[in-house]
Amino acid sequence: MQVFKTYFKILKKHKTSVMVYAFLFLALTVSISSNIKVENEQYKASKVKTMVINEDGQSALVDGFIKYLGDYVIFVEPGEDEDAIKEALFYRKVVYVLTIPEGFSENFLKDGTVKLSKQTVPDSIESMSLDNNINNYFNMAKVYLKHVPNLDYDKLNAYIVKNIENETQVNFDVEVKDDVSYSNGFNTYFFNYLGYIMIAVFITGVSMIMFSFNGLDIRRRHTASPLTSRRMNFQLILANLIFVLGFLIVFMIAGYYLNKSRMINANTLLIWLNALVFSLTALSMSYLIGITVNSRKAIGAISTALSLSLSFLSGIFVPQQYLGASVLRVASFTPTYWYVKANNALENVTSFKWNEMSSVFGYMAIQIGFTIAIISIALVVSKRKRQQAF
Amino acid sequence: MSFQLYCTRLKCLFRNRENMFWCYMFPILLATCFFFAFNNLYKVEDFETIQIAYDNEGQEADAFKELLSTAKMSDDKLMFDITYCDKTKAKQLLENGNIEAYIVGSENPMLYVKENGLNETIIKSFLDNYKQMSGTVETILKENPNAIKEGLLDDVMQYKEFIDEVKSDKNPDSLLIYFYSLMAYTCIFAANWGLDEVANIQANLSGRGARMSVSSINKMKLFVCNLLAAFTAQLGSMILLFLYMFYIIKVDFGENLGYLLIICLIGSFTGLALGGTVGVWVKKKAEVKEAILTLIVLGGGFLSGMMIADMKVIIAEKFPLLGYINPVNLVADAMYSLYYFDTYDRFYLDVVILGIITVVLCIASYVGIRRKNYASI
Repeated sequence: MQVFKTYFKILKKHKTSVMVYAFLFLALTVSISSNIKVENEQYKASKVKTMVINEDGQSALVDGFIKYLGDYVIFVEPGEDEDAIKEALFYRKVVYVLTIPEGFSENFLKDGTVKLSKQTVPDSIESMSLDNNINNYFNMAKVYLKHVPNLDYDKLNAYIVKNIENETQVNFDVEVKDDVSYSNGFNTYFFNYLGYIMIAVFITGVSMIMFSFNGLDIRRRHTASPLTSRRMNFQLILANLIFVLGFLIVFMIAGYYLNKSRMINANTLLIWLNALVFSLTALSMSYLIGITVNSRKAIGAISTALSLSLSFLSGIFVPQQYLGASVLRVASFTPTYWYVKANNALENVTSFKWNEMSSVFGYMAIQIGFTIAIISIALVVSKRKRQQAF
Repeated sequence: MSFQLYCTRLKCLFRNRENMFWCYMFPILLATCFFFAFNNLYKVEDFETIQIAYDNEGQEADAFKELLSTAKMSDDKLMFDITYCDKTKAKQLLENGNIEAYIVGSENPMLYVKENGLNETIIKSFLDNYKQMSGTVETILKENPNAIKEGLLDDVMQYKEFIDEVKSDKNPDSLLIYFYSLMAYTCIFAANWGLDEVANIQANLSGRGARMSVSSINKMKLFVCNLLAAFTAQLGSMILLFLYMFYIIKVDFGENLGYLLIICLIGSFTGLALGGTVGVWVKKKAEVKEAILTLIVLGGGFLSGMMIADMKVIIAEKFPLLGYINPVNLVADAMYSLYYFDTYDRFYLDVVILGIITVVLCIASYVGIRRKNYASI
């Protein structure tokens, strides 16, 4: 088993670059996983830091509105000038700046063409729900004021608050326990990111070693040695598989311990299976790169470029539901896309009936298809290389 | 003579394919990734019609059904694609993943979902609005039974937006944080050129450096020529990235492109000086020096929001000092304040701090390089 041993000797030499990725990933996971909440908690509205700039002065409508708003926001003192407001938004001292323009109440009672204006911190979900609250208030107020004569504003507020509390009841068709849903959510997140690390690490590690074995002189020496090429390839494949499996197992254990619910259910097992399938795809990619490139330094560049671009495109860094349709269409030509899709599907699988599972297995089959395709290309390349050498 | 040295060095730099990849291709690759991944975030146009099922429990006249089937996501896109069926069938459809949710009952609609997601939230807020409005109607009818005749239902159906987003093109924008910090990262990445130049000229760092030392040329003159060449190569990568972002990805850089150029120039210079300082003063293997630089530059990029835009805000809130000594953040922040603020106070502050850092680094590398003679090496 000389080849087998040599493989791990070379790997040992490159251990720093492999370890750096691994630690980077674990550090990132630990820091971000604290942000993963049980889904049901996510939609509980929290009070939004809001600056209200009232240019309209005192009026019963505005006063009533501000009183109503108090249930949803924490008021922040208005800033002195435009720059102060901007800076407050920039540093998120406020999330929402609402300006009530001059003549708003007067106009509201007439036709409602004068609108409030807002500035918000970008991409905040809180501000969207506050928009909703404000719009609801004025829409209801409009109807009430029109149809209920002589309504006083205290009563108006009471009516509106009562109506708004009237929320739709959401029933989950299949009840999922909180810790199960947390565990599944964590696993999906963790293994999606692991996809990036697998590509980066395998290309760095495996390609580097394959490159070492594929130097022209080394290959010539091998051909002259009593070791048959079949035997050598067998040892190389074995070593590759052991490296990949070892790596995967380490991260499965890490994932298990970092997961606060520490549970292994059917979803976990399937996610592991998916990771295993994908690791083979990543391995085949690394193998192909290892035997094709002609400089050691190029491997580092390819590893970074490929892992980042695949991750961005196929929804590892940004969830697939937020990617554009055209991006997703391109991404569907990459194995990572199917890996992430399977992980995402596994987050919500509950029944494990064939009609639900068939799509997940389909995604895995596509990854296997990619693996076979890449290996075929690698075989062609290696055959050509062998013919060129002499 | 100097010009010839400059040209030769420039050729050397451009033939270093690895460096060329990291300086010229990598930022463009990353910018492309950002563009594709983040471009679609938070755009309403791309919400798709939601598949739902509806069981109205045999109601004949059903106003809610009409509301559901006419609600629109955008001008020409319906909000819901509705399958009308009974509850058992709907449950089946939900399980098979044909629909995302189903609604039962028209008087007091109940929502059934499988998971908690964006579409589910949209359906829920739609139903909430419906319920709230029907509650409103109820309350009003108690107070004023004649309201129906006065057009109450029409008024209720008219849901109006009362809020306008302040339309300036200067809204705080997370996407820009990514692009600006990428640009800043590319500036400071000049550190790698700086490191190369120092290694190239110092007799104790490379064979070529030793060869240079015995040549008749004045070392400082050669060093300046080489630095200029490196600066040119760096400038090339900056310009390429800028053109790519400006014309192809169409990143908004604000109106002050002149100021932008200034901050890019200073940033690149800071990068060179940083690389030089690390090269001279860290007495370790070349790999270690590269690793230290990567840590400073990439770590700096991370802290200024290149990977997670919120990072920039977190640092500004919790460790403001770290933001002020991180050159990547200073460059990115200067760009961002050019775009975002109307005054230049913040921009000048960033430039001055960056200037001080650059001067300190330059002095440090100069002190390390000057007057080194070896009897034997």
